[in-house]
Amino acid sequence: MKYQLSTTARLTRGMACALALLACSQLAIAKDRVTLNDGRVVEGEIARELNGSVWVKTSDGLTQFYPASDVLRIERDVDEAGGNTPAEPGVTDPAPSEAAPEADSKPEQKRAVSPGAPRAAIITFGDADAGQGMVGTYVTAQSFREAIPLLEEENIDIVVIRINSGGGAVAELMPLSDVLHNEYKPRFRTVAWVDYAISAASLTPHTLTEHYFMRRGAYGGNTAWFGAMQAVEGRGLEDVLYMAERISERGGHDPRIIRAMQIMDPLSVDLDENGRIEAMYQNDQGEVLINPHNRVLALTSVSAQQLGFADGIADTLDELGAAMGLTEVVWVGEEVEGVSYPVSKAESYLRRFREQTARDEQRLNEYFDGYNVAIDLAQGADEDSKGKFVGFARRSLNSIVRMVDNNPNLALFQFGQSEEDFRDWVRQQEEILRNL
Amino acid sequence: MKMHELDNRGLIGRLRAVATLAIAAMVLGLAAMPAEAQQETPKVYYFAADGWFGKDITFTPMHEAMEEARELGADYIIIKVDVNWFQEEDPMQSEMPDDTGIFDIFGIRPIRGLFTDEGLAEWDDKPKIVFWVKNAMGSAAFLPFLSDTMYFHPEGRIGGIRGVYLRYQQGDEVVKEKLVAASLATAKGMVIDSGYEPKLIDAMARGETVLSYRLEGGRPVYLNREPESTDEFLLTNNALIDEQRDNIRDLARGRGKNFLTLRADTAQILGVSKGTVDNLDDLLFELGIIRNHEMVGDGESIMDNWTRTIERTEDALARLMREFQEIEVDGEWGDRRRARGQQRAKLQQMMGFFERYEEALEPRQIPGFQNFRSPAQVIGQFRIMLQRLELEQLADER
Repeated sequence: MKYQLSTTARLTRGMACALALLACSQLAIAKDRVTLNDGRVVEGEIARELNGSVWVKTSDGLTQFYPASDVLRIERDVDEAGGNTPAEPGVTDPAPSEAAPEADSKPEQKRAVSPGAPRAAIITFGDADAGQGMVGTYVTAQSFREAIPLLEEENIDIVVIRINSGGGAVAELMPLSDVLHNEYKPRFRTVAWVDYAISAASLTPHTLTEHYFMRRGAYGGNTAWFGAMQAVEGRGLEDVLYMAERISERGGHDPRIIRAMQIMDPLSVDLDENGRIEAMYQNDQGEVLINPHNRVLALTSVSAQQLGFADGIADTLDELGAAMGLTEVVWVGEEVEGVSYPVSKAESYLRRFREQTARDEQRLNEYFDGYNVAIDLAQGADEDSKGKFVGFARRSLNSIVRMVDNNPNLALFQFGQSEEDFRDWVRQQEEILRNL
Repeated sequence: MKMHELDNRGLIGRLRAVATLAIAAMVLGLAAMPAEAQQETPKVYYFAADGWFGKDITFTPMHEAMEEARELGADYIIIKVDVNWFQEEDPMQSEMPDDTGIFDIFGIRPIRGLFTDEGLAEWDDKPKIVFWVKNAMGSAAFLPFLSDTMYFHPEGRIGGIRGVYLRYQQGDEVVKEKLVAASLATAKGMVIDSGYEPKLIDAMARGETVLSYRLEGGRPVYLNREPESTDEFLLTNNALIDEQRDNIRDLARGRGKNFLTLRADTAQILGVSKGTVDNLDDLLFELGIIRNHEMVGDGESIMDNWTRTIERTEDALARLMREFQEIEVDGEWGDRRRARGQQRAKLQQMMGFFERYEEALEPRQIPGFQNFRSPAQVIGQFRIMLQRLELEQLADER
């Protein structure tokens, strides 16, 4: 018996070594595979998994985020040949519970499906009610980029972008879309929470895959225009249409939706017996007419659901968490009077940024007028009294510079020049002041 | 004796029986009374949103009224909506037809927040908000839709938002349409939020909207087509079809069919209105609290004070501007310095008024400010003037 046991033990050890070697060789060539609802298959290394959403690092080094709502199946450690069944029954449910982390042997994957609840932060995409909704002025790529370290500092897993903006500058569309797509999506599960999202304020968040609507939510009306309400036409229009197609692709949305929001193209759908979209048409031939001829599409929460565009309806944080499929979530931030959600560090930064921009925008003409008048007075003054006007002009110039330091976009949107050109102009003015 | 005793006992017994019956009747009566009578007396806070929308009816006074209602622990807040529906410059105050009016989504958006769950988050027990509709025309059309409960005055109406087109006179069609679509989606969002049918908004704002309804189980089923049977009823037809375009006879009588105006009867049939009442007591009766309620607060004073304050502010601004223009900067250095100081004080006073009452002031209607488009523009310009005064003083030699 002792011999037998000993033999069994040796055999077991031998088997273990063999399996370990096998496992090592598999690690060297193994891939994870994510099958999406639309049939696409993504292969790479699952860098992170959270409530069914995954971050996949692909061979080109990029990390891409796929929300749980898009994920049909997750397979781990699939071999290079691609067709074999994983060694473990590694087919996981698209929305695994935290208590059941599946056949998951890698330590970092165990960390990804953390025992703690995910941490979520709300950041605001403008504040139209405070007159701070303009995309390009109050909602900028730079401010969103600068919010990222603050989100990371608070170990945020999920970023909810609450939209309250009536639109803004076309010039800021792609920079903002780039930040959301290349910098937010790989790091966080990033979702849009739609309150008031008009024009550029819907086109930019179209980059995101998940959109949750407040019942009162409005989304669309993206026609580009200039001057006295003149529509952008010709090549300019094609450029904007193409930009929207690219943004749609990034968000995984049918480009016909955004097109109907830009120009007066109709949109209709066929539904299956379960009310799901079976086909979409850029005409009025579908069973359900979403946008008729001669109209620009702007969605409500009702039509967004009809169109299958809204991933859920939520007016409160509880409803939002439920709609997002979160069994539990920590909404990170401090209570601030008059604000209905916890204010995270990133949100606090964005609010301060907008407030400062608003103050500067209101006083822009004052800064410039003060500078110009003081320079004139200095140039006409005798040597004894020149200094006080130069000092005044310098203070005004410093205010202008601080304004652009806080928000470089103001160089473009207020002065019509690039930030570089603005800095050149400042250097010239400093030279003038020195010579005075 | 026995009989007597019996009689006496009988009398006492009858008295007891009567008393018992009376108590029983009271108990039964109590049981039969509505639940409200047994509960704590509900507190009712009332005010009228009347006058000019955007001037008399703005965020600040409504916020103050709502705050007072919260502090007093109101269970019901009743808001009567009765806006002016004539041209402001019309001395005869002739009522405008239903099919006119300007709809500005930006006027209602700040007020909206007062009635949402977020706006009511500070309340321990959220109150029942009841709108009582008399004249909810133009931008005010959306006020009653901010709650799930509205009653109509017999002459009540909601509409006058076809002006969403008229607001954008210039520009290319597609750009106008974009702005209209965005405004209407926002308006419909408010309506959806309170549980009403967004198709009603299209019918009010877009002349080409065809909308009918039939009742199923007492509830309306809306149809984007003409009626096809006797149990279907037309709300609006297509203004783009010549023979369906409203004629002046119908328009003058408020019977047009191109743009929907909700009146008391139709609103009740459609379930938009919960009833028609012509006075506050009737409304309290409909709410089931006529016999047992306590009116609290003085919302009427808050709204009236605001109106008076704005009127006084407009007068003060006109006076201050006149006084500012009369100041002459001349004489000795000290006189000039003093004069600039007076100018600065006037400018700061005027700026203070525009900052405080920005939401309600329309510079173009105030003597001396006709060239300004908005309070923000006045404030910006005055800041520059203040700075120039400072520079002038710096440049002024003794």
